[in-house]
Amino acid sequence: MDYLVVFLVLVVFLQTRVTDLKRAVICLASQSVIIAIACFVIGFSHGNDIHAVMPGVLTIIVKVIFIPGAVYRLVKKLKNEREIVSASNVNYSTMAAALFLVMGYALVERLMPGSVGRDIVAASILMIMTGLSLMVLRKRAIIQICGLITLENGIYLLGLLMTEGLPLVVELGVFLDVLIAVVVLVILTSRMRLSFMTTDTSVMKKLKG
Amino acid sequence: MDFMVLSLLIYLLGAVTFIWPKKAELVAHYFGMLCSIAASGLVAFSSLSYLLSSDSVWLIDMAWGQYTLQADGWSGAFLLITGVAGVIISIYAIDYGKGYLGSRIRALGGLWNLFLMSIVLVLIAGDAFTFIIAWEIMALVSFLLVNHESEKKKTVSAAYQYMVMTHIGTAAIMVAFYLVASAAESFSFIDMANNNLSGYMKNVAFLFAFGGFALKSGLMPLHIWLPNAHPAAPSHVSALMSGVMLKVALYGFGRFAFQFIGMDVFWYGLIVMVVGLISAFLGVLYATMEVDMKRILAYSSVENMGIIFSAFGCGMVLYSMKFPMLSVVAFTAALVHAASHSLMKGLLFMSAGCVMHATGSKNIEHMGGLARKMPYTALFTLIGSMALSSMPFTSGLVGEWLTLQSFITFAQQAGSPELRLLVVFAFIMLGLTGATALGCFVRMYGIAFLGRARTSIVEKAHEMPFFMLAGLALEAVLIIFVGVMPDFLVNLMQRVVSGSGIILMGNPLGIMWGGSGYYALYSPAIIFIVFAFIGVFMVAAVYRSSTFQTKEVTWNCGTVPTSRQQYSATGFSKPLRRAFDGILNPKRRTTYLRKEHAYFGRKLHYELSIPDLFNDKLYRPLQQMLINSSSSFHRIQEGSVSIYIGYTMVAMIVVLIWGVLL
Amino acid sequence: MNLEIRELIYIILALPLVFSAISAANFLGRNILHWLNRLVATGVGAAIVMLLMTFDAYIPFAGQYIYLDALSMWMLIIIGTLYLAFAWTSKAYLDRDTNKRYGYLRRFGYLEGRFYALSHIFVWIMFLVVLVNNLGLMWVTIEATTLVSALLVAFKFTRTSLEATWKYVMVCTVGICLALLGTIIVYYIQLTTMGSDSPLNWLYMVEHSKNIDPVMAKFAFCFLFVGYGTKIGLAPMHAWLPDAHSEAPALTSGLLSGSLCICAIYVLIRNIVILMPSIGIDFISGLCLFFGIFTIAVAVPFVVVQRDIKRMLAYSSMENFGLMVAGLGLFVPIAAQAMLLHMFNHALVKYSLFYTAGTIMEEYGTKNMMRIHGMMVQVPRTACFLLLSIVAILGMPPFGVFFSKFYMIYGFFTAEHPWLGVITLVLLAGMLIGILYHILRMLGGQSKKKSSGELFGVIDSLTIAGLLIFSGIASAGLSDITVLNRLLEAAAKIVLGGVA
Repeated sequence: MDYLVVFLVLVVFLQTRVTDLKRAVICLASQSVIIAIACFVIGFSHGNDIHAVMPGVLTIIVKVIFIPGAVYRLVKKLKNEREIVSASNVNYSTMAAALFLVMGYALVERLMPGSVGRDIVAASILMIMTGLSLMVLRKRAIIQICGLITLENGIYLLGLLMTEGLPLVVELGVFLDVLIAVVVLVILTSRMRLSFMTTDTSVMKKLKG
Repeated sequence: MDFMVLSLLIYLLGAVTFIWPKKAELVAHYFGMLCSIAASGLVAFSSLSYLLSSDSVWLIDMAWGQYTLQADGWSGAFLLITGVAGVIISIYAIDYGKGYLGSRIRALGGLWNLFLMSIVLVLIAGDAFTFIIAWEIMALVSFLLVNHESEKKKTVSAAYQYMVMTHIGTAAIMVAFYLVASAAESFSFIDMANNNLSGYMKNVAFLFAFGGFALKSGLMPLHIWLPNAHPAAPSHVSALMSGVMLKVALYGFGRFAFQFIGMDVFWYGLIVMVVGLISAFLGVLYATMEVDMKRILAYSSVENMGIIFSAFGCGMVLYSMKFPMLSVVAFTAALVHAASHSLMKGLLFMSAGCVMHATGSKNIEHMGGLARKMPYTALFTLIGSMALSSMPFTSGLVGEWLTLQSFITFAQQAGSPELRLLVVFAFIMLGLTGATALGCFVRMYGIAFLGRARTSIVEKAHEMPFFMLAGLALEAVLIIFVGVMPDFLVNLMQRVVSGSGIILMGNPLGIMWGGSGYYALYSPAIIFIVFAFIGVFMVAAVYRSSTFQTKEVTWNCGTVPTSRQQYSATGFSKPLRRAFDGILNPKRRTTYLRKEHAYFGRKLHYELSIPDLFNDKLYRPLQQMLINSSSSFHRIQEGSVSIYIGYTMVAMIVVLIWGVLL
Repeated sequence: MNLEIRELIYIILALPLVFSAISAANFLGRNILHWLNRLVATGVGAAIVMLLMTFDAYIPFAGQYIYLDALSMWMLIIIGTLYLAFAWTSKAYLDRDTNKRYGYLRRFGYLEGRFYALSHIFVWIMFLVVLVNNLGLMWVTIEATTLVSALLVAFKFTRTSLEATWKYVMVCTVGICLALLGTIIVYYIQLTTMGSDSPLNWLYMVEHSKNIDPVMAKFAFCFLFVGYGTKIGLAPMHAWLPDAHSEAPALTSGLLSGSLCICAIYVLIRNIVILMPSIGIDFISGLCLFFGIFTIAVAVPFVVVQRDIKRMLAYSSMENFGLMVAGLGLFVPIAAQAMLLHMFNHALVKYSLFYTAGTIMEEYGTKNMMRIHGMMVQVPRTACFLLLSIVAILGMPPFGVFFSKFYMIYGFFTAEHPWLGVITLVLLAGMLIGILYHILRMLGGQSKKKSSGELFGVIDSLTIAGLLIFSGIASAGLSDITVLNRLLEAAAKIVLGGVA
């Protein structure tokens, strides 16, 4: 479990550093893999029925295979597009992530001192906040999608930790929603590429007031 | 079923003109007007029974849903005003409305009926909820009527201003009703009378109510919509708005003051009185400066509502000083003046409509000599103008005399020197108002109807069709009737406010009043006799000395006087403008256009505008501020999705902190 | 025909789904599609009416996943009415979309089927939102509405609609993720205090809500409030709302504004009912009142200075949502009833407004209000509907919104917040100042721009008039319509806590 946390934190920090879209997607997939392993670990520690396996399997299908696959297919179409932003933004996101990690640990210490899953709770808070910071600080549509998935993963991990998995129907629904969300976002991004010739979201500032 | 409910149904029937087939527009118009005449007649007729009964009457036995209808003497008085005005103005509108053939005349007829219906509904509402509904419908319908000629930009902006102001007024009234109703835990007027509102909240409720009703009746800082809305509306609509709708505000305020708030607090009445006096004077001052006939009348409405409210406020003060019997004269004054103002203003707005119909203009500077072209209209307008400048034998004097009497009573009872000083102020204001009003209507009548034609638009003027004249004539007859035999109206109105106790003696000879240790008498008969004597003497004197009589053209330095050399309306009001320069702040601009001749004679262009004090100093800055601050507010939404997500985060953090702290 | 509640609910849930599948398959002719659309909606409407007749407001119906009580019945009526209105105006809207600039639909034959499929599934999901019994499923369905409606908002894939959709999805998903966190915390609370049977079941949780840990409950409520508040469109999380409402096709805007946002309010209410006994009213009431009134205050300046008619309407919706949330925060019966009634009235009137705005856009080829004048002369029927609906939304009698606004603001006074009531009235007056200015300028004056003629047909005129009249009659005569009145009272009881 501790290794998982270390890997997770590593991947998240890596994610704040990448500007290349393909690598970002790969980061996302590996992050999801870690989440899936965590799912199995937590699931088997509580029981042996279908409910223990289900979250992990679903995570693998949806978040490891399908979502990165879909985004990756999109990224392949966006040839030689890099996130053309100054390094400062990247540095800011990394710094923010570091800050969030400290904050997460501080929060956990305050709220639930001496609990078992301290590290993993802190990691999930890190993921939530980093996902948000990716959405706020970065401009590429793809990176924003990655941020959204990271945020979702973080919340999911936190939920898994707190409640040992949501009720089955709800769990299925959540995965379905994430799936549809990514499909919608991928459609939107490819349309964006067609009509704006770029996937830089900072061009979309016409609607205001 | 009560007659009143029947009349409501007839009004509704009249509103059918909305969906009348377009081919039979004229029939729709006639039908609508007939309905409104019949229903208003019914209203006037059945209002008498409420006037004479001392209790309130439930109009529908079983409350339908949350709506109740009820009438008592106070509403009876206003129902009478509404009914009479409704009948007469609808008669006038039969011919006047034809001018709108082809431009939504069906909507005009339907809205007219709805307008009258909503006014009647306001007057017979038995609970605050029904009252507010009826009040809002009245506002909405009158707004649509003002907006009727919406092709004109000016009309649209006037209607917009009217709607905004009246909506704010309604909001204020709603606050007042909410406060009382939440204290009484019921919307019914009867329960609301027994509210247990605390002193502070009572003051708040009073101020909101006064603000709201003052706005609707056009008292001074809040009058701003009135001089714009009245000219923009069709003339019969402005007649009804000015003649009746403004009084409905008095009705509401009276009900609020009598029934819900009580009049125990001294300064309530004082505020009403002072605001009334100020608007009376300023109203007539602005009226004298205007050249647009309908704007003159609109400002004159401000003046008269001011007089009415000052009388009412005086009554409230007297009541709070524990002289309920003496306060009757003041309340009677308010009611009588309200009734007579409704007649006079109805008449004059209708005759303004006639003038517009004949000449196509409202500007009196372009008129002159209309009396020769349209003698009957001129005669009736003269009667109306006389009444508004409170000449004897007209109803105008009755109300003003009573108002004066109430001030005198107040002066008698005023204990402290400060109060006496206030009464002196009141006398001065009222006197100034009366004198200026006289000047104002001499000016209006003289410039428009007498003298020689100033422009060619007068040439094509013609006498009015029958129904328009009939409307004018009816109003004129009523004005004279009330002026000559005031006892009927005064007794009726006195019953409303005093119940059974009678303090003003009215008989066919005149009104006598001995409330405060001395006697005062207003008797048209005696005045008539005195005037007759003087007249006879003068005639005798003139006849004895009449030796020769010649007719000559006015000497004009050897040239023949042209019509442009007549006294102009702007010139007429010049002395007054000079005197009140500080208040009026007239903006003069003289431009030398060009030299016509090398040695003498230059073309001048002279522009004079008198901006409304409150418009310039209060409303425009407010409007500017609203727009500027709104535009700068747009910066928070600049289109960046990151910032939007950031807002969500900020909100989240704020809510979390809130949760931790509380 | 005597159908059970269960069967009726199945009908309501089955018909739109089947129809959207059919229209997505796109093998029907255009006319058949239109008529089938109307038929389906009418069938669903009839089922809702029958449900209303057989259903007793005080006896909730509980199935395994389905729960129907007075509150959900009330929401069902609102959504159903809009569904009917949608079906009966859609043909006119789609047919007239032949304008050169906006004639996107005409160029591709299959798009009508897609539009119908998405719209019906959108309505279907909203039905699900109000029918499911499970807080988690409510979250799932709310998120699903976002996604489906996102495709509708971006339906024409123009640049601006893409932009609007991107913002809509991004902001709403972030918000909704916060709500997921809140829901998870609620589940955690349930696990720790009530054990794990019937997880997240609303009914079960309400019955056992007394012994919830208040600190965790407050924590959960914060997340739920901000999360669903984003979806409702409360300021400052509102930024997606004017974009999405203004860029969507007019029919979708009507549905979004009329029913989607109040679905979010509905879910928020469900959560509040559970958390209220432990948190206490003060905190919830404070949050609701603050954010509600703040939303109205934020909406006012954007209405006063505005050019785009649909954006203006969107801000007006925001104002109304703010009012609803504030009314919810008062926690007095009269305000709760008025709030529910306001949802109904606002939905109907706003739908007709958005539809009329769409028509105006077709007639003048622009959304810019500064370039539209003289509608009264050029397009009298549209002008008439615009005026009536605007007057209705501004809260003037005899239209329905007046009644609900009147009682809602009365609620401020009975709940001992008189000055908040005054502030609200001032803000509403500001709203009127803004909206009326633009609308009067559009209606009156002389027009410089030619319109392409009156586009209001017979069926859509009747539908829109029907909406306005229905809202007016239902609110004015509420105390005499026993079915609705009883339902509303029961629903208000649920809002104030308790299971009817």
